[in-house]
Amino acid sequence: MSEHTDTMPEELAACAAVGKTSEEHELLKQFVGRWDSKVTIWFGEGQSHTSEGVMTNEMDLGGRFLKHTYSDSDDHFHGRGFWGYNTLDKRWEGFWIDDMATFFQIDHGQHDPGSNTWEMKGEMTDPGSGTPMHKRTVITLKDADHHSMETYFTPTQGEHAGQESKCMEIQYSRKA
Amino acid sequence: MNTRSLIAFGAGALAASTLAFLVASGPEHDHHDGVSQDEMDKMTEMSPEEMMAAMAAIGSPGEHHAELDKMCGEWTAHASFVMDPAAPPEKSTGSMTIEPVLGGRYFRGEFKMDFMGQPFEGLAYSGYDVAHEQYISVWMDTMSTKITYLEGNRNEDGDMVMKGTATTPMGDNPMKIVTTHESDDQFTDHFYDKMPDGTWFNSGTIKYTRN
Repeated sequence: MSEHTDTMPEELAACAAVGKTSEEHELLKQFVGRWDSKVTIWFGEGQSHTSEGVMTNEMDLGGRFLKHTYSDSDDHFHGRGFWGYNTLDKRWEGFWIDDMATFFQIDHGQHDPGSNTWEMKGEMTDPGSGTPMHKRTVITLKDADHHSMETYFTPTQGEHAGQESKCMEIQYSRKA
Repeated sequence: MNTRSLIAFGAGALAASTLAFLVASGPEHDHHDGVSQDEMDKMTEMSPEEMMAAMAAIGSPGEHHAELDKMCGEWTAHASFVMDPAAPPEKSTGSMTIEPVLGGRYFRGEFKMDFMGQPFEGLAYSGYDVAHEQYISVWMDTMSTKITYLEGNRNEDGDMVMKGTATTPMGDNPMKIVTTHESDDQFTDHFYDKMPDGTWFNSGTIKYTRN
C-alpha cells in the first residue's frame, strides 16, 4: 500500500478487510470440476422433459467466486453464472444468465452445514403473465462426486398464488 | 403463461431444446392475472411456432443490445477517485476489455488496474432486460466478496444512469454510475454516492479511450 499505509483512513482499512475471502469460500472448491448434468423440467399439467449437459465450475476473481459454464449436449443451450459468499452481508450470492433470456437471475441464501445444503432465494417475472413469482433453489452436496440442484417457483398472483411447485432438478455427477 | 399455451409451446419447443422459458414458467402455473381475456385468447390461439416466436422475442437481443455492442473492444482506463476529501484524487491507469457473450444477450467486461499500489480486477456482466425495458449490470471485484447489481436507463441527454446499492462496512448506501458517451472511441463512467442530505457526491470518474 506504499505511502498510504500510514495515512489510510480507518474506513479504507475496513474496506480492504472486506476483500478477503473466508472459510465459506473454501466450501465452493468442492464444486470445482466438470460435471455430467441430468436436467428434469416439469411444466404444464405435471409433464416433464429431461436433457443432459456438462457444467464446468472453476474459481474466479482470486477464489472469491465459483464460475459456472454450462452447455447442453446438443450445444443449443448455454449458460453461465457466479456464486460466492458476501462476507459483509453474511449471505451467499449468485447470478445466472443464459442464451434463452435477457434478464438476470439473482439469488441470495444461506448454507446449512448439518445437511450440507444451500437454500437460495430470488424473484423472477413469469414471462407469460408478467406477474412476479418467488424462486427457491436448494443445492445439496451429497458427496465429493455428486450434488444436486432443485428449483421451485411460487406464483404471487392467480389461481396458484402462494403454492410452491418444483420446476427443475439437476443431478450433477463428476466427469470421469 | 397459461397452461394451454404452455403445452402448445412445449410441443413445438421441446424438440428444439428451447427450455429456458419452460423453466421460467414452472409447472402447473395457470396465470390469468395481468393478462387480458383478449390477450389470453390470442395466446391460446397461437400455434406452437407462433408461441416459440413470441417467447424468442423477449429472449432475443434487440436495438439496446446493439448499442451495448458498440462498446465492445479494448479500452484504456484512466481513473480518478476521491479517497480522502482533504487530499488530491487518487489517479491510476488500467484496461477494460468488453466482449459479447451468450449470443450478444450480455456483455462481459474485464477490468484491470493497479490501484493505490495493489492489483485490482473487476468483472462486469451487462445487458438489457427486454421484458422489463431496462439496462441491467452486475459487478464483482477483488476488493470485495459481493455481487453488486445495477439497473437503469438513459436520461434525456442519452447518458446511461445505473443505480444500485453500495454495501460497505459503514452500511448500505445508494450509489449510481452515469456513463457519458463522448464519441465512439471514448466514454466516461461517473461514480456517485448518496449523501445523508440526499445529494449525490461524485466520488470519482473512469475515462475510457479505445486502444
